[in-house]
Amino acid sequence: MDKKYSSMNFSRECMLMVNAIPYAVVLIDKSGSIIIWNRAAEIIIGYSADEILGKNFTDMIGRLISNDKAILASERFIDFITDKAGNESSFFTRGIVIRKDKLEFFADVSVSSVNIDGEWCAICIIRDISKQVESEFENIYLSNIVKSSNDAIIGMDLNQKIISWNQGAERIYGYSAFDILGKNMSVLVPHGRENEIESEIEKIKGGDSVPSFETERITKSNKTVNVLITLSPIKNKFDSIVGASVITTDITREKQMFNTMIRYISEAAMRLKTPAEMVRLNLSNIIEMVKSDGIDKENLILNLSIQMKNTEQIVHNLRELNQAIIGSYEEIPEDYIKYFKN
Amino acid sequence: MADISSSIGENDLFLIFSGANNIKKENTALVSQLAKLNYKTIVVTSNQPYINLIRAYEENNIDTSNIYFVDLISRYALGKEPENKNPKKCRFISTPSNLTDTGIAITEMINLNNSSGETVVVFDSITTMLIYVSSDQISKFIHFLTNKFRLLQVKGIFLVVEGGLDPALEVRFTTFVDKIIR
Repeated sequence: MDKKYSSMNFSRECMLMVNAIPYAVVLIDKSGSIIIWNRAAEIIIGYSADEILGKNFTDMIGRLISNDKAILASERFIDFITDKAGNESSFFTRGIVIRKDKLEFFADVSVSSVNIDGEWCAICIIRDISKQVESEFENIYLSNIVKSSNDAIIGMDLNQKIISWNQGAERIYGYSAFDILGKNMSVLVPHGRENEIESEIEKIKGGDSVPSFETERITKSNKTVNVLITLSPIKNKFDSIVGASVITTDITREKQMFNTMIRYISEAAMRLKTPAEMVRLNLSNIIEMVKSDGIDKENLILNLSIQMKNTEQIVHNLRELNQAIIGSYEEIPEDYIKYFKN
Repeated sequence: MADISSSIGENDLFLIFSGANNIKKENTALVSQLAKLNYKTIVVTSNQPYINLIRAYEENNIDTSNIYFVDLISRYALGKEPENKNPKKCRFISTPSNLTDTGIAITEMINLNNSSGETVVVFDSITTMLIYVSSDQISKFIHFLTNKFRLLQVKGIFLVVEGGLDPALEVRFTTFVDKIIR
């Protein structure tokens, strides 16, 4: 520091130490003049020491924080440089600081009174916490996603002890977090599938990926639900696997719909497709008999009546099957239900 | 056509799959074999009217003296019993969906003491019955019949069109019978 901006003298060693601090250190003397602006301040805030040193604090503060906060800070500044100052004149705040290039960043700011050579000064330390805030925000964001997810998102340790339980899990399984936390995952597994989770956990421990799989689970009310389960490893800060997240999607309705659809198609094939083919062949035979005069009028009427009855019944079966499918699918739009019924 | 001559002595209940084109011929061929083996044959038909069957058998020189019918379709189609009926040879059911009457009629025909030899019931066909009753109903009915046939020591042959049953129903039917012929 070649130029002298204050009557105070700072040794070279003192300034080396101040410049080694990774946070912005700003010292303001009683007159409001900025007398220390360290290297970290240059990097974090963007102004060089030459641009700042000797400038009045009240001139600069408006550039570094928003106007309303700058006014308040100016008013408070007096507390730090009067004889009344002392330990009580310090505060800590978190807020947004504006860089020289107008980019903003989150910072922890602490301001304290400091008495140097019998003169009260204010020392301000600014720490860029943008990454921390970003990470905290991301955590809150992800946490909200987990909390509000429609799927059950369950955390368990490697002993299958349940350590987290979201609202989706409450909805699917019926247990509240209070009921279930600390219990073993096996309470959710139906008889006969006890080894299912254990074998998947072993794969996770071994670092293998576990593809999603369909299975069944038991709810608090002892109801069986069809679920799609995705297991993923949970690692600690040392990158060791300490548990697994279990994402459970309730596919009971989809399964029911799928089974209904299979039943519908099967029944349609058995009661519509093959019988319709039989009617076609029978009519073809009747035509052949008529052509060869091999059928009398009475018998012709009987045979045609049978095929007519068969056809009527096949149409009736089609309507009946439509009704069955309408009854099974709540999701069919009203106008389509009306159309199918007609 | 299915050859049951060699296996009917050892087995009581058969499920025979036939192509839709051939099911009429299959019926005639089966009844012909049974007549030659001197079985009393009861044909339960929902596919062709009794009149058609009698004619087809006679055209194929099959002795019809020991053949009886439960016709599920003629009365339903005409709204009345056919005039040239032979009450000793045939029972007409009001509708193919009336499984109770069908069961009773089959039992009555089995219990007719006017013939000699073992009795075989030919059911033609599960496929056409499916026009009138659901797969659940037909499954229960065939289960009922197979139990009844075993109790009465009667043989049974069930005709079905190939591809006319869904896999689950096909598996269920195969558990009811002793032999499957495709």
